[in-house]
Amino acid sequence: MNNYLRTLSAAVILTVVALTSWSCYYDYGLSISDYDAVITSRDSSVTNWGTFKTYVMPDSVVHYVAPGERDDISRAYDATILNSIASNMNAMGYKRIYDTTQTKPDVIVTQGITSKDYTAYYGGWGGYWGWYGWGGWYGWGGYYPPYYPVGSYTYTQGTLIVAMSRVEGTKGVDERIQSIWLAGVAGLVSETASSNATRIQTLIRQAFVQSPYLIPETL
Amino acid sequence: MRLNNLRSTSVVIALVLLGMVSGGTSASAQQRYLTSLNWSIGFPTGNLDNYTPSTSFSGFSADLRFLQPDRTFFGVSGGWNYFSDLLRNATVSVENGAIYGTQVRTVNAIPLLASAGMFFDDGTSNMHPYAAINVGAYSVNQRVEIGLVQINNNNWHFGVAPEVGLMIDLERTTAFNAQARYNRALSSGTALNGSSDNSYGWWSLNLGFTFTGW
Repeated sequence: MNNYLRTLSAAVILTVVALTSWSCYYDYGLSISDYDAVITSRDSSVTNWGTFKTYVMPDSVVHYVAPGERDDISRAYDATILNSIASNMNAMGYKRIYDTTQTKPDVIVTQGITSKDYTAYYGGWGGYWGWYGWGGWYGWGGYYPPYYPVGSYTYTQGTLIVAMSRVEGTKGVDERIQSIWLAGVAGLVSETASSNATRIQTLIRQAFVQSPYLIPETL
Repeated sequence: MRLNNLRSTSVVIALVLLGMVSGGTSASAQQRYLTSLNWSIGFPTGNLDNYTPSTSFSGFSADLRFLQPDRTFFGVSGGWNYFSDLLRNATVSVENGAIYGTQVRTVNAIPLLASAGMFFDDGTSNMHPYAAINVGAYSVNQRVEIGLVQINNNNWHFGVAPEVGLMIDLERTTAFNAQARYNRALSSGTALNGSSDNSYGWWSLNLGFTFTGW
């Protein structure tokens, strides 16, 4: 009887521990939009935030592609990106300058996107502790890990970089200028185009919302 | 891959502890010892409550304690507590910037402690209240996942854990064990949010079985 109780108790404990170990990592049922992220950063040396009131912005989105590689990033969202950035800048109180020969803007706002495909593997536990069912021992010794990929999936991550740079102090077209504000908007590319456009708009807006120091001072 | 390493480590620990349990009565004929294996429920406090406020039902603890004739005991204690929370559409400030997104926050805490304590009964009844103090090291992994980015912060902490408990005999060598322990891992570095105070505290309610051997 004692042995029976001891064994039964041990079995219960082991079951609890095992279930705990296996079930503890929640996946929370995350959707594609849960992988969206917005990161903003500003130049800490700038002390006159609020004095910038006008901006100039190119009418195209740069596609960051490594030298020698083909640009296969879609242009489908370029207009959405450009319109969204401009409308948020205007909503904050900036005035867009189109003819820089007449009026010198305070800042330049540029934008570029990059895209990359990833393949992720997921696996399972094999029932071959110590014995490899279809191949025996691995030739160079040791056990093959009891974990093996059983499938894979591919996802595409898109990243939009919005940069704001000061015009004052920039001397020539070839000079590298330092951005005073950067926003990185990253997310998984969905197969639904309307979903992508909505998320782009929402995330660009978020970049400005979380950067209240950009708001120009009013007289 | 880290996740699976942790799982396999848990399995190995469980098997070792099971071995301790099943081998309890066949050990030394002179030394009486108590082996406990418990399910551990964690209730975060302080910094941990700010980071992952949800009660944790994922964890276990194990104690190996040597009982002296005067009803005092000493030994070692180990275990694992896992805290996790999800924050959707959260914005966190970082130095000169901010990060927005859905955050999956986790804390893995592994205590490795030396224990000393005493029973408050004379051993004649079937209920055995006790108290103990545990002192030792805590390995704590604090992690946040935002988007596709994962940031980890690993630190070792010195810590203390006072506890009170009650064992109720089920039969001569097996008892039910209920234990309340306050874990305090003292600050030893920088937290993920940049704070210089990375201390952690949590209550754990440990429920399980204790096996005695001589």
